[in-house]
Amino acid sequence: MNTTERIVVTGLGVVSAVGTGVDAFQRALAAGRSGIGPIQFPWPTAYASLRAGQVADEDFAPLLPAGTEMGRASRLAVASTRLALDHAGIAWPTPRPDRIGVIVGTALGDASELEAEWQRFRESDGAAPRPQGPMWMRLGNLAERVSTAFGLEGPSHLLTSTCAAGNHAIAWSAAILQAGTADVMVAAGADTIGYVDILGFTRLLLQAPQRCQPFDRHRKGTILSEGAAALVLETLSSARRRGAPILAEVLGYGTSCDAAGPFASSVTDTRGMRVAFERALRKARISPDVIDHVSAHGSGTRLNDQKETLFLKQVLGDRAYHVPVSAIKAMLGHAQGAAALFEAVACVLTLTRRVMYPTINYETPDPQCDLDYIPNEAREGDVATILSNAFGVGGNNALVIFRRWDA
Amino acid sequence: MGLTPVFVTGAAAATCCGLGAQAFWNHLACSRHAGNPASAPGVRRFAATPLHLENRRRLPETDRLTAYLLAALDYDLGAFLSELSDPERERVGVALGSAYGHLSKYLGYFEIGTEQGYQLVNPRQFPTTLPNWSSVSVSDAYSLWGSNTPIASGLIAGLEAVGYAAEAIRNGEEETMIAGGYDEINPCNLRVLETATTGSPGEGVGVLLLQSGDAATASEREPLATCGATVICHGVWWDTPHGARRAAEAVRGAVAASGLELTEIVAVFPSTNGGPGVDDFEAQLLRDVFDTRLSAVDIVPIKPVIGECFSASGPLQCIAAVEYLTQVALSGPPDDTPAALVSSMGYDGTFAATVFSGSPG
Repeated sequence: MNTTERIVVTGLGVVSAVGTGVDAFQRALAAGRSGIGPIQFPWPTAYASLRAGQVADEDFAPLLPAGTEMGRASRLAVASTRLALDHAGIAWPTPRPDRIGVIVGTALGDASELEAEWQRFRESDGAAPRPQGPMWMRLGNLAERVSTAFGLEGPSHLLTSTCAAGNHAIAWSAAILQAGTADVMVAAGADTIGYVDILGFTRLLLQAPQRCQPFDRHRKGTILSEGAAALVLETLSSARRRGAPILAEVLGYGTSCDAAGPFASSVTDTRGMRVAFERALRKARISPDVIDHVSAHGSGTRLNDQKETLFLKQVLGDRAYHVPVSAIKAMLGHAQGAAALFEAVACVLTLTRRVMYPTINYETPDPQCDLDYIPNEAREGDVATILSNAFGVGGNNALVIFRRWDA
Repeated sequence: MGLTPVFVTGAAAATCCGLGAQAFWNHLACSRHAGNPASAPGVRRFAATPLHLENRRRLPETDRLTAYLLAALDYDLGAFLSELSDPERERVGVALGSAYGHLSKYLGYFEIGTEQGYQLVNPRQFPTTLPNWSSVSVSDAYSLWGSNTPIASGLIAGLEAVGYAAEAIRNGEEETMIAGGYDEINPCNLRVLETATTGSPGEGVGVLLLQSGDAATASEREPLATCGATVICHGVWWDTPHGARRAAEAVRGAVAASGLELTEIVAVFPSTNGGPGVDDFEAQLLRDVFDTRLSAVDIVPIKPVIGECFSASGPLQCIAAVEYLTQVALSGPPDDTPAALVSSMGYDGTFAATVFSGSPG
C-alpha cells in the first residue's frame, strides 16, 4: 500500500439532460441552460404535471455495445464510461484488464425495469413471463454491466449511498488506487427516474413543481433527473507511464453519516457533514483556507440548502462569504447517484477551463442562505482547490476535494 | 501477516438457526439446519425470534429485514456499541452489503402507488424503500458518525463490505467497522434461484466487528482472528477457463497479500450452494489452487445448514471461519496460527476471496 500515491483525473464522460460529452456539457453549464422539461408516468402522482431532466435515447444509444440487454441506468453508466475511457486514451479491450476497476454509485439503479418486470410478474400470477425476467428483479448491478461492457476485470462495486453515491464512488476508487489494488479506476454514477422515486419526492413535497432554485428564498424543492457521468482516476505513476494528460488531482475525500434518522436531523445538526469535511482535509493535508470554490450539493430543498450554508460557514469561517458556491442542479436537476459525478466533472472543467458555473433560477436572496452562489451567470476566474459536497437521503455524506494539476 | 493487522473482535448473526452468532455456529457444528417447517420445503427463513429491541424505539417504522439486522447487532454487540463515547462514535463506520435488501419495501410502495393511488403511500416510509435504509439505520441506532457504505453488487456484496471495512481501518479512515451483509427471501430471489436451479433459499444477517489493534486494546476486546486481505475481481464466468484462472488468481492473491503461504490454509469456507454449476466450478478451483494438499484442508460449506443467504452468506462464512480458527487454536499448539479462506461468487462474473488467520495468542 502506498497512501502517499497521488490520484489524478485523466478522463471525463457525461451523459446528461443538458448534453452528452464534456464539451456540450461545459457549453450548457457556462451558458446557464436548463435541461428540465415535462415528464409523464403511466400512473398518477401528487402533482398534476411533472417536470424532470431527461436524456434523449439518441444522445447515448450510439455509444453502447451492440446486442446486450441492459436497463436504462446501466446503459447510461456504460455510455458515460465509454466517453471517459476514450477521453483518457484507454483503449478497450485493454492489455491489463485486471488492473482497471469500476465503482458505480446509484440510488435506485435500473428502477424502471424493476418496476416493469414486477408489474409483469404480478399480472402473470407469479410466472416469470420472460427468460430474462429474474435478471431485472433487483437493483441491477450497474458496475458489473460496465465491467463486462469494456472487459475490465479489476474490482467491481456498486454503491448505493443514494445522492452521495457519486462522491462515494470517487472516494472508494481513490482508496483502492492508493492501496495498490488497481492502477486505474472508473468512478461512475448513474440513475433514472422510477415511479417510486417520484411518489416519494412528490409526497414529501421535495419535488418542485416547475424549477429547481437552490439557495433562493422561494425555493420549492428539487427536480429529479436522470443521467450518468464517469471519471477515470489513476495513480500518478500510471498516468505518467501512459503519458496521459492530467486534468486534475483528487486531493482528499471524506465520508460520514448523519446518524440522526431520516426525519430527525435538524437544520442545525451539521455534525455528520463536519466529520466528513475534517476527514477530507486530513486526507488532503490542507487547511480550509486553501479552498477557493465550492461545488454545493445545492438540491433546492428548503432545509438542505439552509443546512449546507450553515455547514460552509462553520467550516470556512468568515471566508465562507468570499468563496463562490456553485449549484448546478438548478440546470441539470437532481440525478441522485449521478449528481455528484456531474458535479465532479464540472469541478474538473472549472479547474481546467477557468469558469465557475452559475446557480440559475436565483431571484430572491434568502437571509438564511447568504453566501455568494454565483447567481445566474457564469464567472471566469482561476480556481485552484474545490470542495465538492454530496449529501444523501438517509444521512450519507461524501465530500471530495479537487485541485488544479498545475496549482 | 504482512498487512497492518485488523482484528475480528466480535460477530453478530441472525439466521434460521436463531438470533446470535453462537446459535449459528452451534447448528453448523452439529451440521443441522433449522428450516422453518411452515415455509416451503428447503427454504431457510429467519427463526421466529421475538425482537425485543431497545433501539427500535427510534425506528418504529422499520421493516422486517432491518429489524433482524438491528436485533442481531443488539443481541451480539449491543453492549459494546451502546457504551462507546461520543468521540469514539465518530470513528466507527458501517459497511453492509445486500443484493435484495430494500426490494420488499420498494415493491410494496410501488404496489400501493399503482393499485391504491398515490394518496395512500406514506411519505415517511419513502426512505425505507431506498437501498441505503438498513445501513443508515445501523448508524442511526447507535449514533455512529463514521463512514456508512451500503453496497449492492449482488451476492458478493457482503464479503465486499468486509474487505472494504478492513481496508478502511488499514488506511486510517476508521478505527472500528461494523461490516457484513443481510438479505431476505422474496418472490424475486426465489424466482432467481428457481431459474438457476441452485440449492435452498435462505435469509440471514452476518456481521463482523473489525478493529485496529489500538481500538481493540482501548475497548478491551479480545481479538478472535486477524482479517487478512480481500481480493475482488470481475471476469469469473463459471463456464470458462478464463473465469477459473481469474478466480484462482484471486485466491492466491488474497493469501499472498495477507503475508501467508497456501500451506498455512487449513480450512476453506466456500460459496458452494448446491447448484451444479457453482459447486463444480468451486471444486475445480480448490483442486487447482491446493493441488495435492487439498485432502489436508477442511472444506466447510455452510449453505446446507442456512441456505443460500445471498449477500449475508459471505459474512456468515467469515463468522464460521473465525469460530473454526478459534476452536483449532484451542486444541492446537500455542504458537500455531492457522488460516482459513472464504470465497464468494456472484452471478454477474464477480468473485471475492478473503483470508483470516488465528489470533496471535
